[in-house]
Order: sequence, then structure tokens, then C-alpha cells
Amino acid sequence: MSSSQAIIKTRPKLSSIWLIPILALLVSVWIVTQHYLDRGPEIRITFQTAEGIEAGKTKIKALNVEVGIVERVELHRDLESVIIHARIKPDAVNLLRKETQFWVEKPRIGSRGISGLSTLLSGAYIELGPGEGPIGKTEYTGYANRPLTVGKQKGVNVFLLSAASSSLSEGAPVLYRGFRVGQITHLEVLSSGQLRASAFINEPYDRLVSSTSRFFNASGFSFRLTPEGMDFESESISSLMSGGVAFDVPNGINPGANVKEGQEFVLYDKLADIDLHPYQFVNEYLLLFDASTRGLQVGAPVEYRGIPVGSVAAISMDLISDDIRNEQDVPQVPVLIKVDTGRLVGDDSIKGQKRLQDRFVSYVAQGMRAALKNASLVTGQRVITLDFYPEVKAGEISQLERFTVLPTISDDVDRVISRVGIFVDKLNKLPLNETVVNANQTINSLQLMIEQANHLVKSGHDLLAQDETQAIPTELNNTLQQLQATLSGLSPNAPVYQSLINTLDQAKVTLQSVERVSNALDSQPSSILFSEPKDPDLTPGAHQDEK
Amino acid sequence: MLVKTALEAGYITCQTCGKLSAIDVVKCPLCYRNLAPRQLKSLQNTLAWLCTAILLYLPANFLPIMFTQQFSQYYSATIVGGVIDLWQQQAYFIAIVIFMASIVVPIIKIVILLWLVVSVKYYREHHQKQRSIMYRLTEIVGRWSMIDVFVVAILVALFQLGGVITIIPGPAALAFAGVVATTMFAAKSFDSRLIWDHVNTEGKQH
Repeated sequence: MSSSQAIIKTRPKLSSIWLIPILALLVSVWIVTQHYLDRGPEIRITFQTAEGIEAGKTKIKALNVEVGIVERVELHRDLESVIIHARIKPDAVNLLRKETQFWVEKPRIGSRGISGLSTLLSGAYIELGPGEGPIGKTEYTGYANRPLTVGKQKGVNVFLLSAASSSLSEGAPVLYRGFRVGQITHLEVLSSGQLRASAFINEPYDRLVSSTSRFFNASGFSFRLTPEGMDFESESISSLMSGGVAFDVPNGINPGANVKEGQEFVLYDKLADIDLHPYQFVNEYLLLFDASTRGLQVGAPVEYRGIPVGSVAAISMDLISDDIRNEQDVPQVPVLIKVDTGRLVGDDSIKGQKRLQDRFVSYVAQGMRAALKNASLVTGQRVITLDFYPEVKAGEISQLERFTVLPTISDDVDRVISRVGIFVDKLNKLPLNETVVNANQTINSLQLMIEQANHLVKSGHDLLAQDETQAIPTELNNTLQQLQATLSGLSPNAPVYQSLINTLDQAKVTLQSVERVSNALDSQPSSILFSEPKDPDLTPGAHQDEK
Repeated sequence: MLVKTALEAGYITCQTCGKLSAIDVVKCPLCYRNLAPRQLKSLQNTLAWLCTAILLYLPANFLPIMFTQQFSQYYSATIVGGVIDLWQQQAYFIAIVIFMASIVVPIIKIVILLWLVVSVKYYREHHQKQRSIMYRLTEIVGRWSMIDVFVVAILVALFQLGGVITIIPGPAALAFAGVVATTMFAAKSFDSRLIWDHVNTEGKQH
């Protein structure tokens, strides 16, 4: 062994290396605590579908700034929706207010161009729309699409009703004279089979929509060939591609009161229609006629005491079912009429429809009936008239299948017309020509007589000129007596004279009636074909002016 | 067969160059390394490094090792997730290599070293042959354990194409590098001479 002494130091029992695992432990504990302290609240959003949403990947963004991430996606217990658990960053907590909205942002091609293109590659994300209200809500219901109004976006939302959507789509523009003022936000089919589109008009422009505004389909274009050349009309190129609606006030109508949120309008097919038929809401009534409806056409006016209040919508046996027709001994002819609520009630809205219905119930009880009347004798055109007949019993509005039935009355017009016809026939049969010929003959014979008398006077004068005549007074006397006898035939008491006077009187009366007819023809040559011209169609707004 | 260790024969082995010196020599005359008959607190140090490795092994496997940003789409992948992805894409060979290097090797290394420490400390008379085999095994597998960090390092360097594709190392890469480093330190601080200290008392009760 070595002689040199080992230097003995006392060393600590534990190695200093142990500091390293302790440090590592402390660091990891610190990181984990920090992670849990730093993470924000968890919120739950209910969606109809989790299409495109992936746990751990899908982000929640507000104005394209990431504010959270989806942590978990689970099915709701009712299996009809999904619940998305999302973690919101702590600095975005004050975005979680009562009216905050969430929706899935996806790529969408609309008239405004393509939006959400970045989501094509990155996948969908959930957009947070800031809202008002107190902070601290954790349960939300998400929308599949961008909601109608996001946050502070202001404007007015109206509903457009139409029978067919033609080419409407969500996001399609709402135009005012070609300028984009809003968009279609939602489309749905109502239980009545109508299509209801929600249109949102942005704030500065919501004042342009008034109660007299009429919405019409602005998609597509019209192309006409006129003597002046070709006429091409289209609202805008974008609406040509994606569809869209426009609104305007019909010609000659003043803008009405500002529109209220959720007001309903009828969507017209084209711009021309809003002037053609300015009333939007109509009530349909079924009329059952026992008499012939020959001469009544679809589109023929329905008049109330001469004022047009609607039109004939359909004339067809198919309006009522076969079963009902079988029950009737003599099948009645069903005629469907449309009555404009705006004209009779002055309230062109769904509420007005109800009011008109109520009013008709009381009117019918007071004796109002629908009747078929001739509009023109010559062409046989007919109209439907609504009028009060005090002599009839109180009636009531009934319901036949899907139609409301107004009671009808058979007017005595038909009989009046047949009488007029007989009169005209008689007028035609009058022996006008013979009478004139007779009169001529009578005048001729009268003339002959006068000539004869002249001849007599002349021969008498000749006779007087003869010396022999002067010398023979008896002969003269005889001649005078002869003359007197001849002239006595022409006296007012004579039968020839009487018959002449009578004939002339008859001719005078006849000529007077002919003159009346010819006067009427002179002033209105069309009256032989058509009835008197109607008053111009009433337009809405007139009643508002009166208010 | 009686085997003497160097220490029993009165010598010290240099752990760097393997030269035998007399027991009272302080520095190796060949390579100038400080000589010690047995490293002080070798087992303790090894154990400490192993604890650090185990602590780091958890985040290395649970946190994402790299982020892939492809067309603004953002993926994160853990080691196990990456292996599963590769397997599903039928890249079986790469999947196996990564799996072995990233999961099997560190675990084997940590477990063997732990076993060696416990075995040397408490069961010095037993399993002397197995200890030798195991120690050599750690030497063999140890050099493969860094492969994962290299994979990430190469991918990050290669895929920096802006918006098209970008790979960013995740926190697990750092933790994993830490695991590899600490297991290396653990293996280094383990004094292999301790394995054979009781080679002659094999199987005997003490």
C-alpha cells in the first residue's frame, strides 16, 4: 500500500445531481398549474350538425382573430343535435355575452362573391358574433349560417311571400333601383305551401321601404322587340346570376309609413306587375251559379256598385270535388273570385284579409249577394257584381272544402235583355220602305190632280177668251159647277186628304227614331260593340291621402 | 473459477483509456484522467438522472412533438400519433423504426439502468452475468435513441415553405431531447466497475 496519506473529506450524503430531477419536477408542476390557471372558461354550443367541426382543431374566431378552440364534440342525448365544448381564451371572456352568436363559417358563393375561401383549405371554423348583454353565459345555440343580424348591424327585416321562389337563394341581394341595400337571409316553406323569404334591409336604406312598397323578382332579364328596336332590361349582373329581389313604389303612389320589423309583402314576378296589380293581398271566394256563365272570362272584373274590387280567378267545374257535384241535382257552376283587401278595407295586409272576411260576413247577413251581369250587350261580356238586395233573406258565408262561398242571386237582368231584344226586332220589322213608297205615290197622285186642275183652269181661261164662251154664261156656270165638284174632292173632309195626312205623320215618327240612333252612332261609334267605358282602376295610396 | 477485480489486485482502471495503474496513483499517467477506485455516489447520480429522464418522458409523449401547417391548416402530432399515422399510411418500416427509437429504446434504457442500480445496490451477489449483458445492451441501444430528435430537426429545416407547408417543432421535441440526454448522463454516471465487484460471491449468501 502507498505511504502517502489519503486526504479524507466529508462529503454530503446526497449527490447534487438530485437538484436536476427536482428542478425538472418543479418546472413541470409550474407549467401544468400555469396551463390550468391560464385557460379560459369552457362553453357549450349546440349545433344542428357538427359538419366540418373537429375536436382539437376547429377554432373559434371573432373577426378572424382566434379566441378559442373546440375541445370536444358530443351528441346530444336526443340524438338531434350536437354539443360542442369549446375553450375560450381568457382575454376573450368579455366577448361571451348574453346575445353573442355563434355560427359555422364555410366557403360560400354568393352574389357578393366568394366568402370564406380560406376555410376551403383550413376547414370550417366557428365564428363568434359579438353581442350585447351581461358577461358570463356558457350555454349557446349555434346557427348553421350567418344569422340575420350580427351584433350591432342595424336594419329592418321583412318577409316576402311568393308562390314559387323562381331563383331566390340565401344571400341574394335586395336591390333598390339597382343599388344593393340588403340581402335575403333565410328561405322557408310555410305550411300553406307558400314560400317565405326573409329579407334584411341595412340601416340607412330601411327608410326606403314603406308600407306601399312592392317587392318583385329582379332575377333574370326581359327582352322585347319593339318597333323602336330591341329593349333589354336587367336589374344587375349579379342578380342575373344569383337571383335577387328589388322593391319600388308603384307609379303614382306616395311612399307610405315606414315599415315595421317583420312586415309581410307579396313578391311579384316582375316589375311591370306592381303597376298592373298594386294590391298584394286578396281574399278568394267561391260563387256557385245556377245560370249560364257564358261570357264570363278569367280576369273579368268583380265590381261593387260599379267600382272594380277584384277579378275572376278561375271558372272550372274542377274547383269543387266530384263528390259534391254528385250531391247536387243540377250541378252549379263554380266561379272563384279574388277580392282585393286594399280596395275594400283599405288595409293591404294579412290583417286586412281578416277584416275583409269579417266584413263580408256581416254584409252577407245584410243582404249582399254576388250576381252575374252583362257588361256589353253586343259582345255578351259579363262581370260579377256585388250588391245589396234588401228584399232577400239574411244569408251567411259558408265553407265548401277549401273555399269560402259567397251566396249568389240570379238577377232579372236576363229578362230585361230579352225584352230589349224583342224591341229591337220589332224596330227592324217596321214597314218603313212601304210607308215611304205609299207616301210618294200619294204625293204623285196629288201632283197629278193639281196638274189636272191647272189644265182645267187653263182650258177654262181659253174658253173665256173665246167670244162664244163669254156669250154663253150657262155654259160657264156649268163649267164652274164642274170645277167646284172637282175641288170638293180635295177638301179636308175628303178621304184622300185624310189618308195623306196620316201617312206623313207616320213617316215623321219613324224618321225621328232613326235620327236618334244615328246621333248615338255619330257620337260613339263603338257603342254598337261595347258597353260604356269604365272608370280607371283604383290604385292604393288614394285612401292614405284621405287619412 | 476465481476472478479478481483490478481493485482486489491493488490496481485502478482508467475509465477512459483502460490503463491499469497502482491504487495510489491519482492521475492516469496516460490520459491524465482523475483516477478513483469506484466513482463516488455513482448509483445516486444515475438514479437522479433517471428520475429526470422519467419526468421528461411524460411530456415528451403527451405533448405534440411537431406542428404541421399546411395551407393554413394546422396539425399537431405526438410521437405515438405520428407512429400510428405512419402505420396507417402503410409506411411500416419507418413506423417501426420511429416506434423503436422513440418509445421502446428510451424505456428499455431507463428500465435497464434502474434495474442495474437496484441490482448493484441491493443484490450485488446475484445476476452478475445478466448485469453484464444488460449493461452492454444499453450501450448498443443508447446510440439510437436520438433518432427522433433528428427526424424533427431535419423536417423542420426542410419544410419551411411559408404558407404551403411549414413544420414547427413542438414542446415534446425539447422534452424528448432531454430524455435522451439525461439517459446518456445516467448511463455515463453509472460506474460499470460496480457490476463485477462481487463476481466471486455469485450465488452465495453473505
